[in-house]
Amino acid sequence: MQILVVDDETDVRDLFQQRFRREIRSGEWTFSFAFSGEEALEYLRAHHSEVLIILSDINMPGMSGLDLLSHVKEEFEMPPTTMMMITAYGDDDSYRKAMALGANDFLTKPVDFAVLKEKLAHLLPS
Amino acid sequence: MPKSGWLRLVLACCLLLGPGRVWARALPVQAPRPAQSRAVDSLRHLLSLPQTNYDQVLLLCQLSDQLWTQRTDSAAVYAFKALNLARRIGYRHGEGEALNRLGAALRESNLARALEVFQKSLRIAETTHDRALAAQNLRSIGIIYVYLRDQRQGLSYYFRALRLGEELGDDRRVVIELSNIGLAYDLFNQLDSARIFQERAYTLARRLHTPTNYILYGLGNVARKQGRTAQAKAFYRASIIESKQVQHLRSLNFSYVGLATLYQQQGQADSSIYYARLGYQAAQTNGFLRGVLNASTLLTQDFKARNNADSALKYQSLKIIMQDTLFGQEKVMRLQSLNYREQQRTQEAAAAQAALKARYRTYALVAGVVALLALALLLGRHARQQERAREALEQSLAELKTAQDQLVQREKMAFLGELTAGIAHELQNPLNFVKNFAEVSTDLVDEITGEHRDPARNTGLEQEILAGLKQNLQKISQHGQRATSIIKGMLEHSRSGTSQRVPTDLNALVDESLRLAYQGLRTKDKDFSAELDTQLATALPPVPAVSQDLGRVLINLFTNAFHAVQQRQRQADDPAYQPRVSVTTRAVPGSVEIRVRDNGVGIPDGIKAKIFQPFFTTKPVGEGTGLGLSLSHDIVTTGHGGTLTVESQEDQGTEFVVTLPA
Repeated sequence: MQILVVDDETDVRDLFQQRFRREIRSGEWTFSFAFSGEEALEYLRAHHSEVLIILSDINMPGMSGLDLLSHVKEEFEMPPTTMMMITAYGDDDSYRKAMALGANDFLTKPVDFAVLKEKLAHLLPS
Repeated sequence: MPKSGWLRLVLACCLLLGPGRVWARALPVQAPRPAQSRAVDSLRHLLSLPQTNYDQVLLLCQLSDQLWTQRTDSAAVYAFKALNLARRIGYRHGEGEALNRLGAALRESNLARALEVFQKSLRIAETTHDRALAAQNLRSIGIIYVYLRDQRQGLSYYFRALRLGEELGDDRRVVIELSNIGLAYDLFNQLDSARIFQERAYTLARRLHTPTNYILYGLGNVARKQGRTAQAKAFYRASIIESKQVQHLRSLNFSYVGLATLYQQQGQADSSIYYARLGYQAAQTNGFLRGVLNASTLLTQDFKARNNADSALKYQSLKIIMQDTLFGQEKVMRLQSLNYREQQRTQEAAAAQAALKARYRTYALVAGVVALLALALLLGRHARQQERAREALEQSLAELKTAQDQLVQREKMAFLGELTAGIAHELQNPLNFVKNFAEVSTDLVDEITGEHRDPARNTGLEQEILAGLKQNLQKISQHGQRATSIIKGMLEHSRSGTSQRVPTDLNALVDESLRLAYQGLRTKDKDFSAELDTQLATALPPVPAVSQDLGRVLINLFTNAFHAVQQRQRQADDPAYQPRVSVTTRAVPGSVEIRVRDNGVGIPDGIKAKIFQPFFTTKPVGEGTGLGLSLSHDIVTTGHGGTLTVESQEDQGTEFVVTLPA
């Protein structure tokens, strides 16, 4: 049961690993990380069937989170991948675009990890 | 806001200028132009008939005269035509006449240029011994000094004009000079003198059957200020009737504003508003900025008195536009005219000195030691004079420089304001990390010491937690450092003074600037988004640059580009329109090129030439100082020895090209 986190801030990896230390150690959840939209696509092509949830930042240099979202929806129809988008701007436009492209959820930064944990737990019945 | 600082400067100017806003109302008369559209039509008709080029120049000048009272713009057009024709056929008198008309038309928009043009016309009049034209120019120059509230200079020009008029026996001219002198006294509330001259003007005008619209206004002003209310009303009303007859929109504006002031003084706000509005319309139609300013000032006060905030605000902002245009220009002018006078004095001193030297050579043998002594004394005096002139010149230069520095500093603060939004966003990320890593560390510590502690100590787990804690502390420190450097970068942007140029990675600077500009705009307008296209050359040589200065230029260009696409998106309302801002860097032989391109509204041809001029802005009042592009141009050219050029097409987009020597 994999979660792929996509963000151009590399420290997100350490943060997630600490925040979800218990879940990772117990083997409940597995996290992988990609630091750009391009890297995320590459990873998905190699490990497609393993990834269940993608958690992606929207505002990244190069391929944006929204671009990634539309690529994923096009390229990997089956099995359906759950996509959660994260943005620093709580703007309606990004929200509308993300939802139109088929995102499943939308979070704004700074991320409330308690809420995120709940949402993930809901999506990933262990 | 940058505007409020600017306003304070304007207010400070007003205080320096003396008695409130009365000055602008007492505007002198240019000429007794019996302006009727019939006259314009018949002149246009005459112009179409066959005639000599000489007559044509004078006809064009007359047309300009007629139009001046109605539409300043059109008056300027005809003055220009006359000037070009006169120069082409070498007609000196005509050239002088045309220059005088041009000056009168320019006086509203460009005081400095008007003064220059009048002086040129005066020189032509003097060399061709054309006393009527000389008198005309003396009056025109006098008007400028009265605008600048230099009463002594203004009156001295007016009196010279009056003397010439009397010598010429030209009574019509004398009427106007008398009335202008009256208005100049009125401006400084020397009411007795004002009244004497206006009454002399009035008697003479009645005898000659020439218009009295301005004189009646002047008499009305004196009567109002002396508390003769009923008489003041009668004078203003008579002036209004006559101004309408001769279609003189300027005097019409003055008299309406005079009447409105009177009603305001009597506490009759409704009547005051009624007449001030009529005055406003007359000035607006004529393109007479000072008139608009005076009427708006009254309206603002009236509406404030009636607690009508909306209307007061409307006229207040009109007033601010006019004040910015007029007073900013006048402050610089006063400094420049000081400069100019000192230069003239120095030149005269130098010329006199040269003449003395020549004479000395001729009479040296006879005059001997006595002459030598006298000369030494004279030269000593000249040296002292020159020294004084130099001191005055230096002082005025220093004043100019301070004013300039203040403006640059104000623009810097305005820029900083725009930047702050972007930077606040930049700071958000490291601060989130600091907070998150601190929180997660608290959880880790709880795990070893808290309630959920494993009773059987698990050394492996403890080791892991301690390692995690150490890592988190390092992360907290790193992100704290990151926030510090963002703030340091911001302070660098606001630092005054010049810095050394050091080899700079332009691609990084371009990237950072684009991000800051975009985020700055997005924090203001959340729903704005644009496609960003960066094509940065891979092998770009480092360029010697002052990065905070060049960063400002880039942020300024990007911000402008975003505004342009935002504006087009709002105007066009075309769902297919995709706002796009692109930037490319490119190495060309000997230099490096940065192109910032947008597909926004574009720049109309009419204003393309002005965009690098200081104070030019298309933004509404309160936004933008009009200094951004002017300073950017300065930074690129003087600061870096490069060039900043623009190409633009309306409704297609704009491209700015920065070229820097590598």
